[in-house]
Amino acid sequence: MRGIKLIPSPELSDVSPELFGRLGRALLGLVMAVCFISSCRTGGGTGGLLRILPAEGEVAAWRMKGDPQVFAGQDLFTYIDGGADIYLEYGFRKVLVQDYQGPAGKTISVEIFEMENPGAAFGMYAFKKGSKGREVGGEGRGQMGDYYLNIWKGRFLITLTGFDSDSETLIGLEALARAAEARTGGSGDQPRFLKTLPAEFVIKPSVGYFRGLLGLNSVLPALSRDVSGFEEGAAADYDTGMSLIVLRYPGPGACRTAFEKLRTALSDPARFYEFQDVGEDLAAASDAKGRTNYATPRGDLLWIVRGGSRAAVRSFLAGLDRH
Amino acid sequence: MSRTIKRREFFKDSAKIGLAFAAGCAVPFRLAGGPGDPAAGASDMIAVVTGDDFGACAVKAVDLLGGMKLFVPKGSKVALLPNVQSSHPGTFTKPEILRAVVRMCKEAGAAEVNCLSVQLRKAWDDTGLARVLQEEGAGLKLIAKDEANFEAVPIPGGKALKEARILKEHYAHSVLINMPITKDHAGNRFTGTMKNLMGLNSPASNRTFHRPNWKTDPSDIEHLDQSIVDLNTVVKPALNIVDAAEFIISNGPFGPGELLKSRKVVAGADRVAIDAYCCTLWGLTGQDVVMIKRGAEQGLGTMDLTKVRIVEAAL
Repeated sequence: MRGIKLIPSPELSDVSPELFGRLGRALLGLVMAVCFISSCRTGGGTGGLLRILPAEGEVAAWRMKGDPQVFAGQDLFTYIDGGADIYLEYGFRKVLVQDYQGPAGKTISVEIFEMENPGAAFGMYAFKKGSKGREVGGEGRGQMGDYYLNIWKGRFLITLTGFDSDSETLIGLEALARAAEARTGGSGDQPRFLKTLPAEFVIKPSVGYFRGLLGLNSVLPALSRDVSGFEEGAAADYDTGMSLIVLRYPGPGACRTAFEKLRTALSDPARFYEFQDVGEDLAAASDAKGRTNYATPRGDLLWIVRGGSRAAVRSFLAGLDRH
Repeated sequence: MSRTIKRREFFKDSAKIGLAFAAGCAVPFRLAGGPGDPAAGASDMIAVVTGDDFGACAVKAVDLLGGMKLFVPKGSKVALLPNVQSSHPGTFTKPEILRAVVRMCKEAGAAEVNCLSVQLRKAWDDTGLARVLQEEGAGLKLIAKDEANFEAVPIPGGKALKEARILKEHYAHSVLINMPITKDHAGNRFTGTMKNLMGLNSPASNRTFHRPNWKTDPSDIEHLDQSIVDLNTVVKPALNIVDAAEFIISNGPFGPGELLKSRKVVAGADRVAIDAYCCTLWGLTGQDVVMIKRGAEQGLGTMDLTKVRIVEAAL
């Protein structure tokens, strides 16, 4: 078995020597080592992620470089200093990082993120992949950017990063991604909540899924702090020029409360313009970039429609009423 | 024409010099643009240089501000704070910019130039920054995250952060040059000069910037921005040199993400003005970033770019 650097949690590394003494620390180290070895052998802990890594020689011309590293739970802050929150918001368990060396000294870094469930993996995938790129691995499963590739399956998100856009690197990215995906169990079903979004005219790469304010902040920065309390959310852009954001609350009461808070925000002249209180269940205002934001509650769902022609918005809202 | 100095004037001037020297020793980092500071002329100005040779852009940007000698007195001990968060493209300060800054400091007469960091050695190796330091004869001080290596610094008037925990090694230097890369950030939407100073604060303290309920409570997200502003009130770099040459505008701060190649290096003393300028490179304004707004409100600098002297050059 290859050596693995397991980064100890701060709680353990902060254990007071006065409390345990030398003997206590030695025993603690022994227990940790036994637990770690045991977890690897049973396929739990890091073992599960190691299984997904393309093996030595599995992808021609690409060899493992150095040892894999694993970071679990809050230790993600050690690996992603200052940027771990978004992973934790979606539901993070652990990540395994392994570099590969390829032709002409090229390097690719492979990160296998184990998330809490497939919804968390898809949400993080949609957040990370960016708006541009070529699809790989089947529809909505993976995307290749200029020098990196994200792919998800089951509760795993695999991110591969090259350090340039040369053809050897791009070929290596795809080959390593396919090898890792083939070793990953679970289905690739997207969260059911995404079906709430109308499918017609949707720009598929724009579809996002949220479980908290940080994720939502990436598509709704001007309003995200006014709609807190939701359990999950989805967003997409449409060919009609319109963007839809739908948020699900614990119940109609919580949704109504969020809508009232949002209505107040939209009516704040310091933040928005041309506020329109269109009846009890519809509020609208323009933001600093000139886009109109409409908000309307329907049961436990809060809909926010941004941009688009008045005709497109009217047609969408009429469709909601028909349902 | 020679001027004769009277005895009284001589004593008066000597006292001023003595006081200035004492103040210089007591305050570990000079605040560029302060009263009587040689860099006062550059305090309301930011330099923006566009080109393909990013090291040359850094040199030109500092020249436009008046030259490195304004910020690095002869014999000084300089601490550099580049961003080395990840080795993904567009997430770390480029080695060629670091090389140019080390050389400028040495040419200005610095006695010692060191990078300070609590990051792992691997990050410095993978980014190529360690090699630059070795080749240029500059130091790399990797400091363990042990709290004993940090000094408690009260923040008078801190709204979210009442006490910072700053690297003790920082106070062994006389000049700080802040060298972030500007980029996207999932929490703040933006990272630049102000956020980079978290690199001097202890990781344990930094974790308190991220409150537990950020998922549901918007005030917890703003707590991060406010904590950064509070930290910036007690750590004052003499100069900021920002890599805005090629950086990620999605999936920040760690990447990988979409790269924007604006080919710019931005330098100046006013952190708020620099950050307000840099965020415009990818369609944001200072108003969109809580940290920048709060920084301006608390008097750290100028967010209104119409009131900032922006001097631009192309190479």
